[in-house]
Amino acid sequence: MDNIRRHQHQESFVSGIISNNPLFVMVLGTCPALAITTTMEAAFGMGLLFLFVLVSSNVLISLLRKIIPEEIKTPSNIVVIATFVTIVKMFCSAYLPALYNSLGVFLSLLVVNCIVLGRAEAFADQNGVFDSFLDGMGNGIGYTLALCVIALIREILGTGYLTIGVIFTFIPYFRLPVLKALDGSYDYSMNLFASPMGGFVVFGLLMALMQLWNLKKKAAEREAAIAKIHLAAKEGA
Amino acid sequence: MKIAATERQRILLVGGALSLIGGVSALLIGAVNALTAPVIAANDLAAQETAMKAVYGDFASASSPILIGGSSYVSKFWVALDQENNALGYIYRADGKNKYGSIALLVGVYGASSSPILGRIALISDTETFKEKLEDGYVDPYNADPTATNLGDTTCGATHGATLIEDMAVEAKGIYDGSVAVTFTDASGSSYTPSSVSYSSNVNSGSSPGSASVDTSAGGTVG
Repeated sequence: MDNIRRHQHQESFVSGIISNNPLFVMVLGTCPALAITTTMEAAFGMGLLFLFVLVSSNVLISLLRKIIPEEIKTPSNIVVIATFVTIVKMFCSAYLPALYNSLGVFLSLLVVNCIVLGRAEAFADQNGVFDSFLDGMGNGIGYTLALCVIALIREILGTGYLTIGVIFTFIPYFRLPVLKALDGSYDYSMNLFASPMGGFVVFGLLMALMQLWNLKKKAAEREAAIAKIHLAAKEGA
Repeated sequence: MKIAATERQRILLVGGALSLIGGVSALLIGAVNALTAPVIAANDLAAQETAMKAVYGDFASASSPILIGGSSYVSKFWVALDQENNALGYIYRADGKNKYGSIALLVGVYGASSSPILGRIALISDTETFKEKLEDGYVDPYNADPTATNLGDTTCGATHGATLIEDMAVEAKGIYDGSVAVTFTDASGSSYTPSSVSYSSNVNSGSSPGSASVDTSAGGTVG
């Protein structure tokens, strides 16, 4: 029984990161993923704020699931999510103003983010607090990782640099020349990747890679299942 | 029509649950607002000072703000002063919104009231969806050209944002030359009609700002 429960907890956490990644597999939350992934720092900041909103709203919605009448579940969920987004906005504006300005309207749009609303309706409304917490963590980390991977590729290819310390001003400013020299002696950067079109290209390629990985994994699992059946049949004979 | 007791109970339950959630949310937001509002105000002030320095390179201080009423975007203005207390020009604060986000900016206007000259533009906040295009393709090229006194082509890849900035700048110029009818209120709360405000007595009439001496108290500079 304990093993089954542990497996459930593990599944709640891990599935959101890889096999059911909200961005690459479920294709949810694509607007901010394309708009704010021009720099690694902005993407990471967005990911952290998203993680906080998702985990907090999942936990609170799960806590309230038996109190809230069925007919007002959706409006209640939206109020809870909007509350956490407003709180995050206020803290971000006060203590991380550069991140706040960089994210712009996409921070407010977390209220109507499909992932947050989707996890609230599909998971937190039907599961316990701990599982909902793990589900929020898994999906939040999965989304953050996805944003960071897209941003890393776009920033390096689009600007030629990897820059740190512009948005998180408490970190010392650092610019790593990857495709473009600091003195301008060489420049292999491609502006296309800094534009929305470049975002679509990177997103599409990463989605394809993720699909390939998932298909290969499924094929391997099928092979293993068939081999198991053959072995059982042989032993039976 | 009579409502059945069970139905009434259900309505009360639903109403109570919604009120509870709404009340708790309001309390949470209120508490966080009380905590963060002073920090946000201090951040805004610091950003405003930095922006004023971007509008006039020689900026050292500003007069008390004069509040503007009856305008679409511009909410107040200051007289910008250099280190010797010479007037550099006026700085107008403008806030605008469109369907792609919002913009808050400071814009300088100086010169004779009959032929005002547009100074630099400093963005305080920009939440436009196409903010990079707007800043790289519209605001930055204008600010980088020291001879430019007119904003460039708004078809820069962020046309709506650029048009909004242009409208704000045009309104600031209109208030400066008196062609836009507005009301003024100084720091003491006294109101002025536009006709009683004399711009040219405060700001130099030449094309290069920085010659006239200005009393830094708002009441002394305007009206």
